[in-house]
Amino acid sequence: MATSSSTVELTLRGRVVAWLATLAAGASWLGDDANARLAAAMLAAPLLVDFVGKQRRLHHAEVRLGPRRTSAGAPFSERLALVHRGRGRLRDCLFTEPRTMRSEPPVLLPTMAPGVPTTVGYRARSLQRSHVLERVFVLVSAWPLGLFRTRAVLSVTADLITEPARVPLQAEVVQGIAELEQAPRDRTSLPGPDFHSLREHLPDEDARSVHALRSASVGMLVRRVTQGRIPRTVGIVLDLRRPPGRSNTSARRFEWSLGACASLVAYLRARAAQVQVLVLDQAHTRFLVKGPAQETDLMTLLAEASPAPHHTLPGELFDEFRRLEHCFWIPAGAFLSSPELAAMSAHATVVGGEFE
Amino acid sequence: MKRPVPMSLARRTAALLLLCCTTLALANLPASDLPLGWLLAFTLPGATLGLLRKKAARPWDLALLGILLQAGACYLALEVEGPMTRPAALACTILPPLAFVTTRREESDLSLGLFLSFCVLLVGIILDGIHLPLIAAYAGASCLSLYNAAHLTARAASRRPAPTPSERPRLGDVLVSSGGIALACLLSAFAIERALGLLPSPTGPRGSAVSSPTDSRSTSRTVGLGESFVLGGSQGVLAELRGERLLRARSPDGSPVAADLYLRSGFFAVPGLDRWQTGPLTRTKVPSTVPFVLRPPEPRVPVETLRFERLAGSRNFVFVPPDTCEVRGLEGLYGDAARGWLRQEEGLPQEVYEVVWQRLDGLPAGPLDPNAASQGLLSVPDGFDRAPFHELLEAWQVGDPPRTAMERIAAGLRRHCRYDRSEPIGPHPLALQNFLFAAEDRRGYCMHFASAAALMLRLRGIPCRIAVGVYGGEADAEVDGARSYGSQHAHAWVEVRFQRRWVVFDPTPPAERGRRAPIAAEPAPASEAPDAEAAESGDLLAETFDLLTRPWLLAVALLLALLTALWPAGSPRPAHGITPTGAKSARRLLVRLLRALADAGHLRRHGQTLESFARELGRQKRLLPEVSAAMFAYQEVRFGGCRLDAGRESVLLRGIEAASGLRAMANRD
Repeated sequence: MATSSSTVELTLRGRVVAWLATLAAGASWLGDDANARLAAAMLAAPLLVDFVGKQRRLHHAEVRLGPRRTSAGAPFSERLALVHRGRGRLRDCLFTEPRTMRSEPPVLLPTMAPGVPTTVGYRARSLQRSHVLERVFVLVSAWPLGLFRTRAVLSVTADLITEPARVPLQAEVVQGIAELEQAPRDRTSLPGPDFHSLREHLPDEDARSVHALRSASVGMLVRRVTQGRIPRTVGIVLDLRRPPGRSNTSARRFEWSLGACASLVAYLRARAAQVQVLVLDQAHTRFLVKGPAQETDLMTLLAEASPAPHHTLPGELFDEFRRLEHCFWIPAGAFLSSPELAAMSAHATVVGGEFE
Repeated sequence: MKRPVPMSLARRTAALLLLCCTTLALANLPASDLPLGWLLAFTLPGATLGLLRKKAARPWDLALLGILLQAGACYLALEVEGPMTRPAALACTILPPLAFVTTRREESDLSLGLFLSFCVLLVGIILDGIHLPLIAAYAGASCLSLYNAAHLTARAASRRPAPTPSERPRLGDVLVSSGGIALACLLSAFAIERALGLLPSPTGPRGSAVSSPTDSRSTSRTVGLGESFVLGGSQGVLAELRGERLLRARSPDGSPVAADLYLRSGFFAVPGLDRWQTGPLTRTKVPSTVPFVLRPPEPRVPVETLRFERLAGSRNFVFVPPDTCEVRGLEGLYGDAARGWLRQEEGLPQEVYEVVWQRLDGLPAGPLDPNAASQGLLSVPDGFDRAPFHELLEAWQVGDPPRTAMERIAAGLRRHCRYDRSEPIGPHPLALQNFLFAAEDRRGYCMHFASAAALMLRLRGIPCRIAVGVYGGEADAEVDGARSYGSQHAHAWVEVRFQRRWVVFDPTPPAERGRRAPIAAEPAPASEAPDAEAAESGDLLAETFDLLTRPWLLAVALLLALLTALWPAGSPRPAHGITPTGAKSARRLLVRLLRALADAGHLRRHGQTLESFARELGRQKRLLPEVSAAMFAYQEVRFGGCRLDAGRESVLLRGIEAASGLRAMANRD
């Protein structure tokens, strides 16, 4: 556990009192006035007591929490354990995580006995796609008199993977998938879609597939996953390359593209399709997303992805994708005139091509 | 079973504490300056407005109502109580807003209310002096209020109105911690007040008593070493001290000068409630070649000689010990030998003179001088109200025997009054009356102690006068055995006229005479002064208290407290198993590994995790198994709680070798 020491600073109330005490002390010194001396003493005494009695060992607190996976902007509930390793009892501490609690109030911990784990639960929201290995928390206390404030930064080694934010898919993409569904390859299948499994219902999904009885029994919204009317394997090419000669990329487009990739994978996976993903960055990473493990790996890669400089690609890289019935091309690096894309234009749908 | 403190109780406590602070601040205002009618007139409209705040629809309605209420209340108060004093009228501008914020009870009102009540408290102190119990109670209540406000602020920041039962602080815990903090604040305030007195003021250094002689001529407030001494005044005599050096005393044989030596430069025999004056003198002048003889030496008592070097501040004053026989070496010396009063003519440069004297402490002084009444040593001021003085004398059981009377008066004054280097403050018009008869905080300095004691002695038929000069001094840095005296050592005491000689009687508390002298040098009073006996009889508790409340001691205590607080907190105690053994060594090996990879052209980006970097190497087909194993070994040590044993170290070293080989591969490619 990495830690830093606590710092002490004056609060607004403390600054006012300090100024008044200084003025009174100056007046008593200059004028040799007993009343001014008394005023200075009455003003300075709380400052002194607050400073001396300040809880300076906030950084002896230890945070214990597990890895967390979320998507950018999505709220989640975090629970962690806080253990005070110092000697005395900590009082009236405010606990916050700057990265995920920007719009949330800090958590008040009225008392923390030494050595006793305190469970802290709070609502959080990670706004930026990232993969951090070390989470940083801030513990603040103004106890006892609120004239000084002690602040400690607590760092703990714990994964926080913020996947790209899910984005609403474009109409032509959804339409394309729907057309594929409406024209099933296997005419021998039943008229309706086959039930495949149940999964958690996501907030932005159509609620018509929610399984009411199972939702009531498990206590959370679950929805049906169907299969049989979509091609078993769909290809996605995520092109992180910038166009030739360009050294920067629109961050908004890039983030949107990653979100579109994540949404598309989730959409296809929800329909029991396998997804063949090719990520074109400095190297070429290929994923066959068949289950949650591969999906997690892909999302982790997306959480860490960054634009790549332009480079040419070997032609055989797309052979496998040419054999697929349909694939999606996501030009995250804004390289729209890729020759590989032109070669696959017959059976590839460009996602986010007209973004800008 | 411990009872929890609910949140609503914290808010109610905050309101109650603010009300306490406001009430105490109002109670500190003097009723003579601000009668009850006026007090109500300035507080009731504001309080009513604060209570109606939530019910009023528009602010302008509220403002109009406030104006009407205030105007009506002022009119009624003027009719009933009549006009009040001008300072109180000025101070009353704070009262309506204070009453308003006290009853309004919004979140921001707590700080504002505390500030306004503190202003009102200060106004009360300025108008009516320090009422210690009230001020201590206010300080305690305000500290508790701050404590409560800090808790409420934290609660408001977390936006959680209702804590869960497990989160609620226990009542006992809250009481102990808040009470301890309030007590610490009180003690700190006392210590800071005393310690601030150590600061030398540019407008008037603190000393033990009397003023400089320059002011005795330049202003109408002729005080101290001059021909009269005015008690009271807005600034007090301390403001007129300038801290100049007065004289240096040494023995011709180099023996050390006693620290308990009283050096008189003048006296005041004509009494007054507000002013003491020297009285009639029979002046004679002697030529410089002839010593000025004050009295013949007593037989069988050793004669001592002191050499005085007058410095800039002493002007033409001649300082002599109480039992001086003769003074020599000064040109233009004149004085009254019978009364022991000496001066040098103005403008003469001679600054060194010698005094022959005897220490007559051990000799009997005989009965009181029967002729003293004719010399005016038993007179009391005109229009002097003796009744309250007699009440005090009876309360202190002051009898007729002179020694007993002196002893009991000194002890009574020390119990009844407090030494403070500032003017007495109180409802009475005269400083001496405030010093003796104020309801609370009867304070004063040596001249007040001496004046009160002299008047009481005269009321008991004991002839006396007030002597002024210097006392204590400090060891001279330039001349061994010598003592230097400055205006900060100015002092006043009483001299009682016995048949054979004057006897020094110093009613000022021993610890307060010559404040800058070291404690060890604090002398018992000279001659048969009853202070020594009083000290011996032992107000040991008072002496201990005096010692503990020494400003320098409190300043050191404050400094120690600050240093303790500033002492580095150090790194946290690691929990068992938290810090992996050998993590630093593993880190060093990892740095070598990364450096080798960077040399081979594989630079880890800033902020890139080790896993991401390994994945990137894998995509480039550059992740050798040894390098991958080395990274895994590092992760095991750093985050897995494993030790850096020989096996993992060798894995890391092999990884470094393999990474170095990558460079050769890159060169070949």
